[in-house]
Amino acid sequence: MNAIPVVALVTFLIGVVMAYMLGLQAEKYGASIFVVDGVALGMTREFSPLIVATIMAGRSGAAFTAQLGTMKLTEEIDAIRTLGLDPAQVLVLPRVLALVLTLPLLVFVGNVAGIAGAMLMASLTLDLPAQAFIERLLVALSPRHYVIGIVKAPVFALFIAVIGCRMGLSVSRDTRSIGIHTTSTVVQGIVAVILLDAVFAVVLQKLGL
Amino acid sequence: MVIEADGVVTRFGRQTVHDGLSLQIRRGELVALIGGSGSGKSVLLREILGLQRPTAGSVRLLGTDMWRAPPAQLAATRKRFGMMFQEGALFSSLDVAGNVATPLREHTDTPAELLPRLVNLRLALAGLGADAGAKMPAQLSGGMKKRAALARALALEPEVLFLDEPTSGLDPITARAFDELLAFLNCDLGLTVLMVTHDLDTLLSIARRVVVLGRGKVIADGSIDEVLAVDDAWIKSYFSSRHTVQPPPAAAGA
Repeated sequence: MNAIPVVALVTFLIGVVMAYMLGLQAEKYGASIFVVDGVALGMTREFSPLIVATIMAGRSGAAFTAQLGTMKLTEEIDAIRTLGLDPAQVLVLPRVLALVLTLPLLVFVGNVAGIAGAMLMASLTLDLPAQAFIERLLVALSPRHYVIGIVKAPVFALFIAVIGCRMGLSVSRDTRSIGIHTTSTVVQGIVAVILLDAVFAVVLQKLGL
Repeated sequence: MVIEADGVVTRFGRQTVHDGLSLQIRRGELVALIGGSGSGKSVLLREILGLQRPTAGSVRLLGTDMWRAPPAQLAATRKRFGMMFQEGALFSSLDVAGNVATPLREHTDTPAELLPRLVNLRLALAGLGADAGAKMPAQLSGGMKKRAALARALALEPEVLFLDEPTSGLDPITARAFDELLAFLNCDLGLTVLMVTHDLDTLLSIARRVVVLGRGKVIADGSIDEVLAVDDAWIKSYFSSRHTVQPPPAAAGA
């Protein structure tokens, strides 16, 4: 996956920033160690899924629209239909499946990179050595939050992929339309991810998770 | 009748493209469809292929109404025609051999070990060497793309072949070779051919029947001479765009 470096880099930096901000507050109360709790919860439950999904909405969602839009333009999709094949089956389904399967893996990469970033920052500025960080992490990292974060990923992926493919297939037969639709895909994808995340937050709150 | 369009009406918003158009094509004919831009040639082709729904009227291809037939009958009909799109419309993620093999894979039970041989036969028929099979569509020249697309259209040994501007964008030598190939497919293999074209040379050399679309209807239909005899401004200016219009060769009359 070519997305791994960019996902790792962005989440690593978010981890750094999170540790720094939380550290500034926690240090006042001599509670630097709780930075680990904050990062573990925030990263695995919220930030990693949200940021990774946003990156993939820009990367894969846009790519799907551009690919399918170009195929529409070159009549490839018409050719598929004249052969009696269903574009939804041969073009859309594989893309949706691919993203639904890979996004959770990327969220895992994001979790690891984000926590690594926080660990680096903690050992540099908070006087919290890596060993102490990891010990606290083992206590603080709750499977519940981790699983919630991973479960969000395929839902985000489904929406991103479906939006990307749908916009690609609705490209009209001119080049300008591909650009317009690609832009629209990215905007819709990111908005969808944030809305879904809010829905998750409310629903999980109600369920007491 | 291989193709029967009856009272086809096509509207896009307020614009009426076809206004009660009717057309019949018999087995073994080689028909060229011409008309000014916006006269709905490509739209008619798409309606015959079942890619676009006419607003009213019916289109039958090989006896199948492409919009009302049950799926099984549609699938059976799809095995019996081939379509060559204007820019080839090759599947960009597959190499040429993969492109030609796709209809065979989808519609026949050809054993995998036989596929390469069948693919090479089709490539040879379309005038491509076996070495072209490994190339990706992006690596092909315009002429080779068209040949590869023709090979794919011929994959299932269709009874009817549709072509959208087969010679556009080709140099005159390649274009004439393409004409000869189409004439061979029509005369020697008995394919019914319907093509949308603008190429006067193609018309004059191989088309035995020319159908002219205009004002939403068929405004002329017949041999070149018959079409030339129709009093219509567009037809006059179309054929006078070339200085020397020669009658088609006598051999073409059948």
